[in-house]
This record gives sequence, structure tokens and C-alpha cells, in this order.
Amino acid sequence: MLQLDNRLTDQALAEIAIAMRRPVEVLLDRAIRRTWRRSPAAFGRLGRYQGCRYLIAPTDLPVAFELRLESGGGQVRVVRRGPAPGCVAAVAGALADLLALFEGSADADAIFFSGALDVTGDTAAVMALHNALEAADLRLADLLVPAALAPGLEPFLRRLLDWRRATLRPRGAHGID
Amino acid sequence: MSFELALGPLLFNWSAEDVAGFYDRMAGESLVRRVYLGEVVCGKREPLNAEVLARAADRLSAAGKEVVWSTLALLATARDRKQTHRLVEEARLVEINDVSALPVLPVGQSFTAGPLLNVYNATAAQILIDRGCDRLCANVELPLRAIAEIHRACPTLPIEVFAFGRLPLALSARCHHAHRFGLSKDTCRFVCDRDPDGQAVQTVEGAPFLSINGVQTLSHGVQCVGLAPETLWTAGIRSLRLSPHACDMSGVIAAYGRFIETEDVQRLHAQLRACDLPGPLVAGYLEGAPGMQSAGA
Amino acid sequence: MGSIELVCPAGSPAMLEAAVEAGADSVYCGLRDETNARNFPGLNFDAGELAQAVTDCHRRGAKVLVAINTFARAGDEARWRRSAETALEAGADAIIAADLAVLAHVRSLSPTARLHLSVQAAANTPEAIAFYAETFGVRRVVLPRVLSAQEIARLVGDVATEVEAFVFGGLCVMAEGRCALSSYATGQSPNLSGVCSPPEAVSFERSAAGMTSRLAGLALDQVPTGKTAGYPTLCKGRFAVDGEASYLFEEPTSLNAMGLLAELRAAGVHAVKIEGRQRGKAYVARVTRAFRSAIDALDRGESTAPYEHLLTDLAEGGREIAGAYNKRWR
Repeated sequence: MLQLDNRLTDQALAEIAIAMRRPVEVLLDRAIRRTWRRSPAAFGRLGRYQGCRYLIAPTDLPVAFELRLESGGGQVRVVRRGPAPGCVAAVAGALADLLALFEGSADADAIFFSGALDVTGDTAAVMALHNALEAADLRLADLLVPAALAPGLEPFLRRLLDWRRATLRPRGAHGID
Repeated sequence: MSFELALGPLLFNWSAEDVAGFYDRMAGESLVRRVYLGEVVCGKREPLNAEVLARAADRLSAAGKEVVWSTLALLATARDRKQTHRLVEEARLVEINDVSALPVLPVGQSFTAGPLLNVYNATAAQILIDRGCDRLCANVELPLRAIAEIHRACPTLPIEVFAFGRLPLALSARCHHAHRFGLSKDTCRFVCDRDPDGQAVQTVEGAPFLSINGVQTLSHGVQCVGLAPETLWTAGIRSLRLSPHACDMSGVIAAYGRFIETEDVQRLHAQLRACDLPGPLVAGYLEGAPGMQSAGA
Repeated sequence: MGSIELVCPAGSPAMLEAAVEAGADSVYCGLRDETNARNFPGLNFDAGELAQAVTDCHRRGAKVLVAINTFARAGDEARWRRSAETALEAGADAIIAADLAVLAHVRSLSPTARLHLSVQAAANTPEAIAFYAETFGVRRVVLPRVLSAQEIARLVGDVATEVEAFVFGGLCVMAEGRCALSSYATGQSPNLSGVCSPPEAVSFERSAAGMTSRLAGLALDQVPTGKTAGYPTLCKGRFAVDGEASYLFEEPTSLNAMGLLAELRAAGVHAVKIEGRQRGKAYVARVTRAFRSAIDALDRGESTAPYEHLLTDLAEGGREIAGAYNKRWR
């Protein structure tokens, strides 16, 4: 876990990320739209939670993300960490765990409920999001590219790529892809 | 409206003396029309009180009561199956609590479909009627509107409801009581006999919630009726089943007798609460609510 | 297909694809409503996805079994009948059902449709199985997880139907299809609504004591700060008796009966089933591959031992047992 020198550095990074969030958001919006085009039925699985806002809060990033999914795509907004009124639920956890969940390389139940993630708010909404993303063909590359262009997030990206390399290491004939 | 009062099968492991004493008293309860006897929960218990129950059956019949023998609800062993066969072949009136007993029923014999069978709709009820079912005790989960639907489709089938007692909620192959004492079902030493009303179970915060009775899990709350008799009658209910507990059952019977006449739900609850119950009154299921919803809520 | 049919769960088309790709002989799934017992938000198939799934699977030599395994609500039986129609129209290879009404509806729609008896029917005696076989022409029974391997062997000999046994996944502690614990607390249960411990009633609360997972407000487990509490499935909670707290009904472990495959096959079990429609693509891929390898090894006359510990970290709570297949569990 990256140790930040002091709160001021953390805060400064957050301010930079927020100030320059627009390009990241645009790219993430496009990533979501690409995902929707690949699996148009998947977002429909949200049912009555389509259009609801979810807070995705990586505990090891200075910012959080508000995610909204609906038919056609959706929207991602970079926000400050903290309470998020108007969000139907919040999912917090280490960035690597959140990404593993989205990428589908880990057992859904294991990551989602019995391990690393902290879920608050409407549990049914989170379950719907989880099942919708599970059914969709969301790719990690979609999320990594925008992150690469995000000032203030570069140190985290490097750690992310290390983690990715580690999970891709061959584990023998019965390893995970 | 002539509701019947019935005594359900004793779910708990009482001593032979307590069982004999209980049914002696019940023989004198004029308001009780029908009594269910038999071991429903655990096949291992069946031999313990078989003789006492047989004598009780004679006593109760002599007192003009209709005696119905209930089968085991979750058959586990070859012995369970043999017991069930024997019961179904020998008893005149039978309540079936597991599908296993159905094909063993002699042709033409009628039966009561017990509350531990899964009859949730009219088609299921009709299939059983075609096999000889002439009375249905509704599954405890069923809301009144479901019972009314079944009644609408099968208007000549009298329906009974579980109207008093800790609610049977689940059965397991694993004996919870035995495991509490570091034993297993096979080596249980019948430790379930320590808890004549089931052993209370709380949440980790101390909130009373469930109770355990051998392989069975029941509610902590005591089921009662929270609706007016006329509402029940319209839905097809003709009989109220009172499940025996180690409380003042005579008081419970009297309270229900008065309820049928006065239609006073509040009074029923007040009188039941004075009967030394093992838990608070609940009445959620019939109203389509969680089963643990308080009576009078 | 090898000597035992490998039946794997599919909660979505993507998961179905993963299962077939990993070597499943059959996949089982449900429709997007309370007619199946995994009626979770966002899970399951609509009619179009089901038809597509059947086409895809048949092209690759796999079968699709559709679970319509809840109990039809009185006054709304038409919904369950429609699910049966959808499954039959899609070309499903079998319908898995438990309710007398659903079995009857399927039979009235099709005199020849293949019916499998769901574990929700809790039929674990030859008499019960014979009843369903004779009344509805049920061809296969999925055994409740309450029988030991020896008892399964005896049962197979006593019944005319094929037998399917669970070999991996979450264990239901209580007899399936006969448990009202969930509805007592929340008003919803597998039989009433196709769901146990529904997410609508779940909440997680952080306090000085740590994280408390709740169902209908009732605390089912508490873990210290820093850890996350698991999903509060009722029978897997911690409860107190006489002030002493424990996992009263069952330790939060998982079934892994891979080590019993040879015995089950020798007992005449026709198919083995993986639980977990809600557990995702990665789970089903991994478990299916492991059991595919084990079954193939068995068929080559080799031991399944090299594959037995492949799945340890997937078990709930990280622990596995042979469950009810071992008599000491009772």
C-alpha cells in the first residue's frame, strides 16, 4: 500500500485530480459506452436501478467516482471522497479489489461480500450493479487508459499495472486466465 | 360460524409422565374436537412415547375426540420409512407431513395434508384432493389471500391454520440440540428433552429470535391469530390448530373458545399473554408480513 | 460427456459461456423472476437470452436445464405456467421443478418434456421419488444435501430415476424447500419469493464494535473493524444460546465433494451439480475446469487427488467440508 507522506500531499493530489477531472470523465464515459455496445443487455439488468448513482470509493485513491449506468451507456464523475447524498449506495475497497470485481477475474461472492469490499446503502442496488457488471464484458483496459491520462493518479496507476502483471503470471494448467 | 379447535401434534420431547398427564387433561377439554398425535420432528423419539400415545389415543377417543395420527416430516433413515409405513397402514385417520407417505397410503384412504407439506396453491391442493386429501392444514408461511384462493378453487376442502404456538420454520438432518452439547444426532442422548418448549436462541445482540428443538428450528415468538373470525371463515378456514406447549394450555383453549364467540381479537391476545407463554405473541404470516411481526402491530 | 454428467450454474449469458467453455456438459439457469429460487436483482435470463443460450449450447453439444423451482403463488399460477412455456419454446433440455402445480403445468403443456425434480422438493426417500416419477414422469431427481454417500448408493438402487448430486458450493443447512427462516424475519423466502435472506432486508453497519451485518435489522454477525462481514444469510449467522455465541446452525463453510467423485460414480450417480448461479464467470470457469479435469482423470482410470485442493480458497469462509456426505456432520 502506497504510503503518502502527509495529508497535505493527499489533499493536493485530490485537488489536482478534481481540477483536471473532465478529460478523465470523458474517457470513462466512452469506456462505459463501449462496454454497453459490447453487451447491450447487461445494463438492463439493473432494472429499476438504471440511472441511479453509485459511489465507487477506492480507499487508496485520493478521489472517488460516481457511476451511473443506463441503456446506451452512462456516466462517471470524479468526486471528492466523503459522503455522497443522492447516491443509492456506496462501494469502498482497495482499487485492485474493485477492479478485480469489475474485471471478473475473481469469484464474485468472495470479493463482493465476504472479503475486501465495504458496502453501504441499498444492498439490493449494489447487488443489481454487481450482477449487471458481471454479465457485461467490461475490460480493465477500458478503465486503465483514462486513468493513465489523469494527473495525480500516476503513482497509483503504476501499482495497478504491477498488480495486473502479477495476476497474469501463469499458475500452471489450472490457473485463472 | 362453527370453528373447530384442534390440538396439533406435540412437537417437543416430553417425558412419558408429562405426555400422559397432558392428554388426560386434554380428554376433559370439551372445546377441543380433534387431536393430532404422533412424532413429527425426529424419528429417534418415536419409540420413547409410543405406548403412552397409544393409551392417550384410546382415552381421547373415549372422550369423543377425533384422533389423527401425524407422520414424520423429514424422513432420514430406513427406520423412519418403516415407521411411516406402519403408521399410514394402521391408523384410521392420518395427517401426512412428507410426500414419502403419499404412495404408501392404502387406496381410498383419506388424509389431512399437514402444515409441513408444500401446498402453496390451488393446483397442488387439487392434486392432493384427487389422492384422497380431505383436509388441509395451511403451511405457516401462507398469507390469508393465498388460503382464500385455495378455498375459492377447492370450496369443499376444510382448511385449518396453525393458530397457536411456536412456529415450525425449518428442519435439518443435523441435530442442533445435540451439537450444542458436543454430540451428534446418532449419539444425542435425547438432550432435546431439556427444553419442553424448545431452547431460546438470540442474536449476538441479545435479541430473542428463534428456538431449537432437536433437528427442528422454530420461532421464539408464539403464533396467534390477529384477524377476526369472520375474516378467517370467509377465507375458508374452519379449524384452528393449537400446538401444545408447557404453558397453561387449558387457558389457551378457553381463550380461543371465547374468541370464536366474541370475535374480540384484543381480548384473545390479553388472555393468551396470561397463559405463561414461552415468547411474545406474533401474527405476521397471515397478514402477508414477516412472521415475527408482533400481534396487534 | 464422460461417465458422469457435469452440471454447472449460469446466472447470466456471460457466465453460461464461461461454464460451457470450461467443459460443462449441462448448464442450469433461471428466468428473471420469482419462478426460480435465485431471484436476485440483476441475475438470470430473459426469454430471448434463454433461447439464444439453448441455440449456443446445442451447437456445442451442451444441454440447458431451466429451473422453475419455486412454489407457484396461489392466484398467480399463470406466471409459473408462462415460465414453463418460455422454457419449452426456447428448446430447453429439461425443466427443474419442485411444486406439484409446476410439475402438473409442465406436463399439461408437454406430455414428453423432460422433468427433473429440484432439490427444493426435498425428496430423499425412494417413496417420495417414486411418487413424483409415477405422477409426473420425472426422469431425474436432484438429491437434497442431507444424505451420506452410502445412503445415496442405496437410494440409486431403489429408484427408477436418474440421480444428480451436488458436489460443490454453498451448503443449505436446512432441508431445502422446507425452510421458512427467511420469511419469519423478512417476509420473503425461497418458497414464497424465490429468494433467501433478500438483499432488500440486508444492511451493514459500522460502529465502534466493528462491522455488523443485519437482516431485517437483526444482527446476524459482527466482525472487528478492518474486516468485512459476510452476506447475512440467516442460517449462517452467529447466534447466542444461554449467552454463548456460535455459528449455531452451521459453520460458514462450503461443500467440496471432489474426493467422493469415484464413490458417487460407483454408487450410480448420473450427474454431479455445482452450486452457485450468483457467483460469477470466474467462479464457474474455475470450478468447472477443476471438476472437468477430475472427471476426465477418473475416466482414464487415474486418481482425482491432484485436483482436490484446487478450489480451497473458493469455499465460503475459506474452509471446505464434505458436508452431509460425511455422517459425522449430523
